[in-house]
Amino acid sequence: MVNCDWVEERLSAYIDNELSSQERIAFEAHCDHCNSCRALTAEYQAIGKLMRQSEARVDTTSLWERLEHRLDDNHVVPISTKSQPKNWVYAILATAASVALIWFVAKNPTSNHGDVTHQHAALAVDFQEVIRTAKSEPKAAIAKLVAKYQGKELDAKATASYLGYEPAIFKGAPEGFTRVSTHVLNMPCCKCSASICERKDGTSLIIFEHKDEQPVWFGDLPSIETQCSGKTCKIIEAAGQLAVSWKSEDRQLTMIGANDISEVNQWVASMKL
Amino acid sequence: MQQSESSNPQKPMQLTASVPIDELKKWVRNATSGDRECQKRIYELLAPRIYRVIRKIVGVSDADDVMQDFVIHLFAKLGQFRFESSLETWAHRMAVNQSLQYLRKNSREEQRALKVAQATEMTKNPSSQNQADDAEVLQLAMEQISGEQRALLHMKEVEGLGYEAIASVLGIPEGTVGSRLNKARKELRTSLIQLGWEA
Repeated sequence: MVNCDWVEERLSAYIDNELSSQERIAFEAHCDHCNSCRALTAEYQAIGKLMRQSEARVDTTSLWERLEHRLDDNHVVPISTKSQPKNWVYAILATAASVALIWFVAKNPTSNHGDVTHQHAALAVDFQEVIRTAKSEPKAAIAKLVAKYQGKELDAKATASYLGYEPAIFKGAPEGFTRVSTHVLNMPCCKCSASICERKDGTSLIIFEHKDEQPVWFGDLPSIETQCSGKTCKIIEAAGQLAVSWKSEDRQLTMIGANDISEVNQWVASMKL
Repeated sequence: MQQSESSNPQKPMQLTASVPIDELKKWVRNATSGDRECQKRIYELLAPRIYRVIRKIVGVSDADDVMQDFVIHLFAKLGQFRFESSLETWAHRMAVNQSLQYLRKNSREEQRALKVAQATEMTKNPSSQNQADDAEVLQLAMEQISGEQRALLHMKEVEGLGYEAIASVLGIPEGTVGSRLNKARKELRTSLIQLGWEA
């Protein structure tokens, strides 16, 4: 039964020429005898005409000139999701001599500069040993963190209860990895989880997760920012491995001990919240 | 009763179809590697249309910034484009998502931005005072609807895209485009009438 509701429901489809011929005939037959539907259709068409007439001209030429400067200055370097580490990664990062991965978290973003500097020093965590041992002796690396930051090993339920959310790692490690353990750590900045994940060859990496709006800093170490599986990742290279940090929704994830960029891509793509 | 006498004929995203596919693949490959000339070609191909939709969603005063961020993002992700859809659809989708995300992050700024937009985007060459007034009223009315609704209406009414292309850009089922457009048009009409507009 064609009535005003039927017509109103199909008004856009009619205007946009998306109705079947049968529906169009029924629509027009109704409008021939219904002043209000005919008027409404005309109004919608007038709105479209107004939108087209009001569209200001666009000049994107000058914008390109400004963009070129940003492209020149931009440190985001595109990478292929399938490629092995490119030479440029190591060319940039090879100068990393000493490692002091600073997990800095500004609890109070309104802090003045002096306070921030002080917090840097207070919260600096020497991850040199973590990075060096994450691949071959992950349990020893975690044990030191546990001792320093009142850590404890928990299962998924207890971890979720402790942190207030379930770390993404409990939804499953990427293919080729097995989660071995998860510890919670009471860092100066925040509570976080640290999970050891083992490769098939017996080597490991460690994945950290915390929820706060707090960036992970890599101190003054040379780092690059690049897109990995759609996420902006900050990467440093040390001890022949990669340490990577990226944000996913309200979660900050940091991985220490990745073999190469392909592995980073695999993890970033797999860690769904 | 005449149908759609003022509407553009609907069309898919097809600007990039004007470039031979092998040539386009070469541009994409080289642009991914940082070739500035190929980046510029891709920019020139996509920019006018994408700039318009970004401007419609975020407003004139923020359009340049969002467009620049979009282009940087586009070139960073270009290596992931697999030619499974048209480059234009893929880029449009990215631009719309980035614009909507910008609005969400800057919701308190939106009102200010649109007020500035209202003051600055009035047609530069009005053929009559009435036309300028109508454009101003339309600008104000557009403030009252959501960013996604602005994107929808722009793609349909200004770009003249078909439902399939719109669904592809917005990542929504094609079957819901008509009802979403209906809702957007209804809300825009209500706002226009409240502002004193007459067809």
